[in-house]
Amino acid sequence: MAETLLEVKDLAVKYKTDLETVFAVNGISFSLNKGETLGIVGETGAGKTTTALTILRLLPERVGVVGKGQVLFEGEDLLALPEHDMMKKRGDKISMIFQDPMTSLNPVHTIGGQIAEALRLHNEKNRTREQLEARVDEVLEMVGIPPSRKGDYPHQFSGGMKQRVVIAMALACEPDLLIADEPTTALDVTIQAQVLLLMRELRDRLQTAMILITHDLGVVAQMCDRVAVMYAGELVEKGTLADIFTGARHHPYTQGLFGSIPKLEDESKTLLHPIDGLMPDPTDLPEGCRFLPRCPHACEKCKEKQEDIALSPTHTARCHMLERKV
Amino acid sequence: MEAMKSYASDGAITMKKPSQIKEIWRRFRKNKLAMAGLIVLSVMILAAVFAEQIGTYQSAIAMDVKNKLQNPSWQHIFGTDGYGRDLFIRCVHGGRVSLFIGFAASIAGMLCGGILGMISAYYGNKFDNAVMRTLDVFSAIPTILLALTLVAALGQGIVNIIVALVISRIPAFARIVRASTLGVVDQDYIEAARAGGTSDYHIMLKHIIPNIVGPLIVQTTMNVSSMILQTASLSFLGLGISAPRPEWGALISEAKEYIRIKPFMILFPGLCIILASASINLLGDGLRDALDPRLKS
Repeated sequence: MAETLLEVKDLAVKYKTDLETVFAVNGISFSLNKGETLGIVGETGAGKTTTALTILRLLPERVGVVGKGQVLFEGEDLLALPEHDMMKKRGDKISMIFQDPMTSLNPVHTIGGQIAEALRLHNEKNRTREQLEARVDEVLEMVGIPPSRKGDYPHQFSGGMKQRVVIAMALACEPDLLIADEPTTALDVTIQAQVLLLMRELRDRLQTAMILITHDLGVVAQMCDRVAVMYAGELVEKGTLADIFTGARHHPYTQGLFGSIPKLEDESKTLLHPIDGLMPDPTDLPEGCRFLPRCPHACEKCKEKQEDIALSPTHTARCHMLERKV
Repeated sequence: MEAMKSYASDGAITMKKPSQIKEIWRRFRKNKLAMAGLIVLSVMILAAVFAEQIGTYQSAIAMDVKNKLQNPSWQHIFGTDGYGRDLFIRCVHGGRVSLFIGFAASIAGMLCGGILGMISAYYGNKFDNAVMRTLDVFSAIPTILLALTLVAALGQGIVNIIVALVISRIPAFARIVRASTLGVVDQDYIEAARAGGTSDYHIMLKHIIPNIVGPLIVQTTMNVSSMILQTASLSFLGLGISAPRPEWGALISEAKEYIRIKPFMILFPGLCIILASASINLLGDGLRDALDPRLKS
């Protein structure tokens, strides 16, 4: 059995402002083994990015509040760690790739300088300047950028190249866990394929565990070992890639997600089946099942609090209807 | 684009680009007025630096009553003042004081106000509110009045004048830096830097400052001229540099007694002030256009 790297237990996060309280994440639990890739899928506003930021403890100060729960990284609760120790973990043990490569590089520094800085911050091996430079070359080579371009500024690169640089920065210290927050959303499809291929190669080579946040099920199918479907701050369904993509029974929301993807083999010119309605207002979530107002199978029992139903040893879904059929 | 594409031997495309500073200098050079400002200011700074070689400080303050109130001549190109002192040498030595105070007060004000503004924008919330409201109170008092009060309280002398001017300038700088920092601090690369384990201090030093330094240089430069004018005003009011040390404002103040019979006495130090502040402003304008070409319409 593989070793558990990250375990999130019953995590709840809310954003408090003067006017309202937004319940962004409401009691989610998942675990991630070493070298494994977990995909978190869900609509905009489902709380995916909030989950990622909470793991890194980068929630906006005073506004973002962790209500309850634990984030155990190698057995250590990150949420209880002093800020200084957390700072050492960021970038070294846990890295993050942000959505938009256009803005996640500092325009006034050369890319070589920015990668070197990431290395210098966690310079435990006390590398000299030359060794750092050599490592920068190596990392750039790894992501397929000629090291001769390390003296260039971000504006001299295209979007795909910039995302490669961002990946190089995130992987420079060979972290144990990489959180990729929609790493390909800002890129066009061909570049997206290249970047995903690169990420997969590097993940396999460096044995990095990865949390891939996306709303693109195609990306999940290519990259992930396990999938978690997030809706309104809850994980409505969790399972292996096969469980989610080829399993027979699903949470109605997951069904809805798959129903809204066009199918290549489907010749009948039927329309897509989008999920009706909108995400519930996160300041005022419905009681019981969060998906209730949009669910085609809604019934009285949905108004009660839902429990995770095990469909197989690896597959759970949070819907009472799945219980009946067992 | 001046960047030249060349193919290196390994087949990779490398860009041969002019360095940032060269590029800024190239844009700056195109601006004739700014170049004129730079030249005039350089001459004045050189004269101030080598004032002792042009005429010793002793000769600038030693009285020679026999030769008092002479018109400009080859011997005394600006003429002499009421005590027979050569006005040209006094202007040169006065420039030493005026320019030094101008630059020192601007740079010190930029540093104090800048650090305050950046920290308050970076940490935000209550701290930001406390700092900015305090500064609002300061900026409600007219600059010259505040400086006058401070000099009156601290006593005369170059250092005290600088302190007074710096304190009266801090709110303006803090506000400028705070505004530019707010524009940078929400950027993704700051978040990314934080996710990479960068400390707050490091983020401010390495990521925020380089992004706001352009407008700051321009503001600091422009500010030098108003600092020179303020120093002159203080001296004119008798609260600046104490006699017999010459200073442009003090020279005008001394000359006003003779304005009816020897108007040139007030003209030359006045010209010095006008030339210095005008050339600094032109230089600042040119710098702004050169540092941020987007601003130019």
